[in-house]
Amino acid sequence: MKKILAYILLVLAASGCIYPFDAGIVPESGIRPVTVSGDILIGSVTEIGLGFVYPVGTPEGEMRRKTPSGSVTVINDRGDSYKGVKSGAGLYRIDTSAAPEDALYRLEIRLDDGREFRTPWTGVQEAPAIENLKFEVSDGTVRMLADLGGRDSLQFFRIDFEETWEYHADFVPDLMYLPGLPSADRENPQKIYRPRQADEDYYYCWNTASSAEPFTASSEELSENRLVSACFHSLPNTDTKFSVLYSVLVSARGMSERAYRYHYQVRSNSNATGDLFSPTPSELPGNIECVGNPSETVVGYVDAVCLAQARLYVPSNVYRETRNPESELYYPFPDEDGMYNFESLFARDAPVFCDDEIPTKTNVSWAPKRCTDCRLSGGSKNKPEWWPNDHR
Amino acid sequence: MKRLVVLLLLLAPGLLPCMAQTPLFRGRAANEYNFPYNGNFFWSSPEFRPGTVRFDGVTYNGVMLNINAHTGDLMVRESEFSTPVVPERSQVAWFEIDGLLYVNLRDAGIEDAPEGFFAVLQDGRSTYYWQRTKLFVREPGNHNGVRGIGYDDPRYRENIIAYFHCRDQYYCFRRGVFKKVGKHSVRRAGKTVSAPFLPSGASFSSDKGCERIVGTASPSLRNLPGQQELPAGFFSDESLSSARSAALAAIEQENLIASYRNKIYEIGVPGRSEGPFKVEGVVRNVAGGAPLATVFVSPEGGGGYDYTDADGHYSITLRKGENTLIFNEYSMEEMRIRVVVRGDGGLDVVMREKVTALKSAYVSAEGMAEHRRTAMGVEKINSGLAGHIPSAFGEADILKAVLTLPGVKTVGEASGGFNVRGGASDQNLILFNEGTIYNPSHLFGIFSAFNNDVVDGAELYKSSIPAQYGGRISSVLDINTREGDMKRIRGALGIGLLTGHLSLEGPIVKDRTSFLLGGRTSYSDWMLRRLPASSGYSGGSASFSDVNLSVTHRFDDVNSLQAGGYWSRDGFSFRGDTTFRYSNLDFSLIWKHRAPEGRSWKVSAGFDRYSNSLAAGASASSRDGYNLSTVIRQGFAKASFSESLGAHNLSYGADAVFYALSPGILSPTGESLVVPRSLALETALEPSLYVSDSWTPGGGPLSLDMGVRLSSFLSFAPSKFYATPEFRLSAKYSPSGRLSFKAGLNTMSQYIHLISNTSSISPMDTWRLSGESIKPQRGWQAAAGVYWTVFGGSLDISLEGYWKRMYNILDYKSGAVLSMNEHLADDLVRADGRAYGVELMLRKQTGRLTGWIAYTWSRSLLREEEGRGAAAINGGAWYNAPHDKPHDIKLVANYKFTHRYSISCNLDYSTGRPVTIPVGQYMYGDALRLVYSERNAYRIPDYFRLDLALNIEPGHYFKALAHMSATIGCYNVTGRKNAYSVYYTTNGGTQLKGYMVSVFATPIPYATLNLKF
Repeated sequence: MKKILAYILLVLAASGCIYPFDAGIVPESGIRPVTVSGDILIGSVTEIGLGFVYPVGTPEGEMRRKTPSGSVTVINDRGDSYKGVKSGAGLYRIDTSAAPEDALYRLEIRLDDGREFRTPWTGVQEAPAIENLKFEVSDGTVRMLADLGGRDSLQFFRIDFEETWEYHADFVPDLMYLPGLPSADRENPQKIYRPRQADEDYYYCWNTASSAEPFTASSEELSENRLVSACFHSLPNTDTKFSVLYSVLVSARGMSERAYRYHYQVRSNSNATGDLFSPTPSELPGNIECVGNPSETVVGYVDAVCLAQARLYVPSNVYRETRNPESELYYPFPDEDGMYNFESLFARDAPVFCDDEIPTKTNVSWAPKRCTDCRLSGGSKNKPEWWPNDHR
Repeated sequence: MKRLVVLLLLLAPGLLPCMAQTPLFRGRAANEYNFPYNGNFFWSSPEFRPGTVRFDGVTYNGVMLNINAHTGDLMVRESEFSTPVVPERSQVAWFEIDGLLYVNLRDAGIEDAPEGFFAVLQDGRSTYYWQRTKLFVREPGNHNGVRGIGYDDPRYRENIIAYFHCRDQYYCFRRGVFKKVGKHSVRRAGKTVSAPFLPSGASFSSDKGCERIVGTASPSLRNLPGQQELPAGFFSDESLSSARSAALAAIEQENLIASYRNKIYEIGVPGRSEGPFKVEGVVRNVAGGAPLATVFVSPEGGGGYDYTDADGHYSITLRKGENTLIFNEYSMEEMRIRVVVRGDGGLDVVMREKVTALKSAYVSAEGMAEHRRTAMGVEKINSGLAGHIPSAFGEADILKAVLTLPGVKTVGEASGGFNVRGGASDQNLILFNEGTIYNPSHLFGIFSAFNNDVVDGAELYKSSIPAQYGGRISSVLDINTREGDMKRIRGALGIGLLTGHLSLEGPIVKDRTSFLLGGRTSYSDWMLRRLPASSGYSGGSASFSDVNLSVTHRFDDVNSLQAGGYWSRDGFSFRGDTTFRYSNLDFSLIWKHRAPEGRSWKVSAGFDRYSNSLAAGASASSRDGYNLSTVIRQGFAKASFSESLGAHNLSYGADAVFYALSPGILSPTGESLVVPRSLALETALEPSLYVSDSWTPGGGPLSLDMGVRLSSFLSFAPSKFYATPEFRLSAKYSPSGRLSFKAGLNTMSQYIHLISNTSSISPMDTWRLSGESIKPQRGWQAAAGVYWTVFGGSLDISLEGYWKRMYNILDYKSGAVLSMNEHLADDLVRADGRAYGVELMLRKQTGRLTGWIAYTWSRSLLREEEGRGAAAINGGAWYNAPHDKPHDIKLVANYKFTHRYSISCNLDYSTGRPVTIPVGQYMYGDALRLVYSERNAYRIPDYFRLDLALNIEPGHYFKALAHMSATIGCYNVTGRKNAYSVYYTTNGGTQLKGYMVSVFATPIPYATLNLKF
């Protein structure tokens, strides 16, 4: 009976599945629609990204590399103009930190090919108050929560965040390998190792990342125009980001209803399809038009907003260690000819400990370099100035 | 003197007794029966047989003899061509025909013996006397007291004019006294002799009290001939002489004398009219007396025809005089009833389920109906047929059977909705016992809402929609439950992979009131809990239940009242904090009156409720937890009348539906900050009047159906009134009984609309009523077809084409908010639609292999009406409707190895449905975003599925307490990974991936077990 039941369950579990699918769409040639990303950040530095719509499957690098070139300017109804400075491929930084909040703004884009785009005049969305930031751990997940207090008229919220975390390597090496020795010395344990110097400390590192997907929410159906315990980010508590200290900088902004609908639809189209009852994807027009050719498609929605920021720290006691770095250690062993090829070993590994005072061929533990150099995990030794501890 | 001689010669027969001997061949002429009757009055066969007769003391050999069992007289005939005469019975001592001795006991001095002749039977120990009497029965227009038309059922009126009822009685001498004996078992040579010559139901029991009469043992029988032992081998099963066989066969035939096959039914009152005449009645199942739908009724040799409707009612036009009516239905035994039609009248019939005689069963005449039915695009399916079409998890499902018909397409593999001839899923009116079902699916559409145990049949109108129906612009699917058994308690139990079902029915008051109770439930919840966590479903739940209850009371033969109730609920959750639920509740009262004069009416009233809800953020501490629900309540009242006016069949009536629709109710859960909110209640009344006529001018090859329905809609708050006439026209021209041409035109209106941006009927779809800002949907369909029956009626070929236009279809703007939107109309756009196509169908209905294959080519396109310029959907150009599938092939086949074992096959191929997929991508900050194609510009891969099933029917042991049937099958035998949908996602990252959702991606074997008791 158990076998029958297991079989039935297997059939049921396996019957409904999701499979990779390629529609085999041939990319169309012709003018690619221009995309515009970013908001006009009043009281801060505005970052505007320009790009093209590419055929599905285009590598990210190519999309970031092949971008429109031109000029980007923020103007307001008082005649102030804030010109953008190119900071990368398709990226423009505009200093709008001194721009007044009580003006109307628009973004103007002039491409090198002569096309011009602009947004309509728009008022500045006031920033919500970040009333509280907190985290909670449940079911192995660290959930980061925000309470946003809206103004009376503010019903649509967006949260972006930048997370920064300190972490460390698994081991601090006692010895360093000396590469490039004459072949006669390459197997001499007394020559190939040297003590680690004080400036060769790659144990503590810092890393940072920005939210790829902003969190948006609405208080339309709520009794107050505020969000309570809105979970804007979550990570498993086994994530090494929590191993030493984790911090997240929350940037909250208000949104116009149209902007909220637009971004909601765009995000749903990208991430929330495929369920049995998923709505059919549809496109919403943005608020950017091509001057002189209104029928030209331009993708994007640019609002003028103010930001509110606050930081949350998550201590390491939420972290649940699941790795066992000791298992990564090993002792070198000779090849078939009895030779210890430390040179090739060093290409991927690093010496760690010496069990005795004098190293020999076999008493030095080696480990993968990523276990001894925290930089290889994506971070750097650049400690943020505001970081609260004294690790170096 | 010469005159005296002549007179003496004429008086000779009378004078002869006075003389020495009376001539055997002089006597009164045998009776003549110069009126219609059935059966015959002979003892066994009408054939005169040579025999020996002892008459007036003289033994005559080689005389042609027969017996009139009605009068109890011997008939003699001198030659084959001479007139039979009846010798004076008192002078006939005995006679022998085919070795069987007949004696006249009464005139032999046995005073206890009844008059007439007795056949003498001996089994070696006892002597029995067998007397057969043919009772003449004449029962014009009264209740059938003994045997009904077809099978025993005393409740139904029949028009019997005359028949002979056979009565056999047995006697023997006990202690010298002539006594009647009951059931005997004659023993000979120590073994019980089966007595096939005896009437069915009679069996001999050993009766030691009976005396053996041998030779002159009895003084009363002194004048019998010496041979009184039964001929050798008389009781032998194996060595019956040919004469015996003939005699026995004749006896068997005679035993059926009172069955419907041997009766002639007189219909109508004789008059001067030469007809044709209208005959109508109700066909019922002998088991329980429930009306039988979809029974094909036609006269032998062609002419009028009809199908019984959901109430079992039929109406047919017959010529004056003798006709043979054929009643045919897939799962019932075919009946041929001889009638003499003298005027308009009625004929009610009971049929028996086809149980024993599958080898000779005539499977169906569905295809022939196309030559007789004026209407186009009418499909009828009964629950028996539905049980033979393989379906997912083996659950017999009438809705899935409907999906195998041409012109009907499924929304998706696991979807309850369906599309008919390019219409949207909300354009189908689904009636269940007159009530409306808004969501006909269970468990994501894997099962339909209709329990096959209680369903009688379904009628789908996809083109010629009768004027009595309205409110939807594409089709009407009318489903009815059976009546409960009026005679005994019966039940059925079934167990499948995911579901179990139980039904119980029986009389509350025998032959008057019955009930039918059916229920289903799933145990998928239990199974989901046992799935491994890695499956992703282990925390989910999905279940459904439904209950049907129907009580029928018959006041008399023409009035009946049916109360029906239906309740169902569905619930599922695959994300811990989001739960979907929906529920159907229907209650109806139906009063039916069917007068014998051809007038009938039906009045019904009821209440329907459909609700759905979504609960999100279910945890008590959640600040944004809410429950969102919608509710449709409607009450309805309908009255329909029909009557026959010569060549016209007139139908007329009125109906009204009152709607109270709550399009959205939002309420907080736990400590949620969600503000309770409700969208305004929408109320409206939809009254309608209709009249229609079916006319066959002169009974010729042309027939017409004409109808008009005055459809109106009054929306309250704000007040808005719509009214429009709808026309239903169809015509048929049949140059022969096997070739027909048809054409039709329908116009329809719809006042309630499904607001959805999903391709499948979703639990959260909302319905809205027409009003100030939402106009009624309108549509018309023109269709034409040719129907040809070939190969002696075994193959029906039909080709139908249609052109359809639809207006004011609701589509949604990009980014529309469809839920809890007080200004929903702002997010909707009106579209018009056009659909056209050709349906070719070959259907085989006889032989071991039955089924159909259908190919449909069709298109369904939409175009936004509102002229929003570039903002319009696809720039205002025509675009594919979500259910546009140009090519569609369906094959349904059933091959019967024996009457118990059969295999079924179901094949389905269609072009993939249109979808909107990404054609471009871009970076938005660090996130990858997608740009989608024009709406429905691409298609998912084509759909193909093959299902096979082995059906094992129950054994045919009538006296068995329970009958078990089983189905073993495999759904999607080839394991094709059919796409339910395709989608692309970045999963929050920067890499785009395309995926295809396949609901049943592997072969799904199943087995179901059903027990009927």
